[in-house]
Amino acid sequence: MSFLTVDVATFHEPGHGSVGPVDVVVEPGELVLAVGGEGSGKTVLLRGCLGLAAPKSGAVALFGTPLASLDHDSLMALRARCALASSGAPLVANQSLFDNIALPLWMRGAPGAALVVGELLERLELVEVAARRPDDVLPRHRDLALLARALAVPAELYLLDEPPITPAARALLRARLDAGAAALITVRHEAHFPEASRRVLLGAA
Amino acid sequence: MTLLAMMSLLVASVRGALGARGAARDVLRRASFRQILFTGIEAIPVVGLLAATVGVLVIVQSATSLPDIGQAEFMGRLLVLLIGKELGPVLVAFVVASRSGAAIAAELSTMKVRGEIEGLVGVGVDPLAFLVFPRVLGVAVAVASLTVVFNVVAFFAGFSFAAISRESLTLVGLFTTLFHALTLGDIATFVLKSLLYGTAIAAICAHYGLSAGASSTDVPRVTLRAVVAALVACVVVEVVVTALTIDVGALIG
Repeated sequence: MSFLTVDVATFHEPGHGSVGPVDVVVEPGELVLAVGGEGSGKTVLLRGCLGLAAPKSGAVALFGTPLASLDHDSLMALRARCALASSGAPLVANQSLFDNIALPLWMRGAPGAALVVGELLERLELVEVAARRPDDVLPRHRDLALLARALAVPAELYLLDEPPITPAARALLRARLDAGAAALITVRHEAHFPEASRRVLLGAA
Repeated sequence: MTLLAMMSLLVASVRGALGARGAARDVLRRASFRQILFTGIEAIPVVGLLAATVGVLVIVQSATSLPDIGQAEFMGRLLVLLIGKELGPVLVAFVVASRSGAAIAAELSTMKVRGEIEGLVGVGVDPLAFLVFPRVLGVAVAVASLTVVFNVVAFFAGFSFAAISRESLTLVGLFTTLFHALTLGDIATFVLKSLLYGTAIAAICAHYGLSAGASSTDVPRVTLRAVVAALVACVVVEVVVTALTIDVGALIG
């Protein structure tokens, strides 16, 4: 069973752009790249994969379940198996970076969240800014915190929108893939992830 | 339609919170306490001032006028009904709707406009459980607690002023009259009203806050709508609960 199937889907969202028609299949353990320049619809594609943007045509299925016509609880249950991080997206403004990263783990009732988050902060070199709020840190730190928040989650499918590509981030992602998870990553240049098993070229709808 | 959406939001948030376990319960507990602190503790000065004003006005008028018309024995019952059951809960609800209701709608709509809520959904956090439930619980508890504060301050201020201004009245005598007139039914009614007010205010304001679109101009728009809707809901709750609990037989005579 594929973790993600985007079947000839077209997405359009004011403020997030357009993309499609696009076909993407992500199998367990796979790293798939969606490559496109500015305005090619990378963000809206990942939003569509989680049901945050409805396709204008075509269909999206997560873990074999079509997203169309799912109720709130069923959709949330599928989303809980995924983790999305979009560079430049906001974190929760009134919480520290540590709390932002730990929140998804806490809300899952996962034990040992502090240890997991502490290790991520150390590897991504965020320890010094962990107690600060998102508006008090550099954009680079916010992007790394967004990536850490996604990677902290024991997800089966990671959807990463132009993630900061540092050796530590790459190693953390590799570890998740080796553990059986899959990832769909949007990038501007495919050279950033030569280990990707497949590539999808994006263009505006 | 709004009522249906609000009820659905309320049910979904409670269901989400009931499913929380381990650390999630701690997160919800901390968020609920923060809401109680903001809505309850920080509102004590304004509620106290309002209560003292209402208490002095109502009690002094009653304590000085009723004996003149030979109805002094009804004063305790009248004050329980007027301040304890009616004015206290509804005035506290108005303060909370204007203050905390506006804050809830503004905060949630800002989070929605900024994309923070979608960010949480993207990592599997249910925003209804995390953002709505603690606010509903916190506001409901805070309104009930503030109503107790309102009644205590109103009766104490009013009785003190009446005892000072009229020699024939004593503080002990006035409080004795009050406690003799107070029934368990009165207490149950004001607790029920307070919880309903708190739940309605928080759920309505959260509903409007989460209904914001992507534009920053949505924030003042939904905040204004939320406060107006919450105030209207308070009036509706007041009318419905009073209609259901009023002693019609006593009214007819």
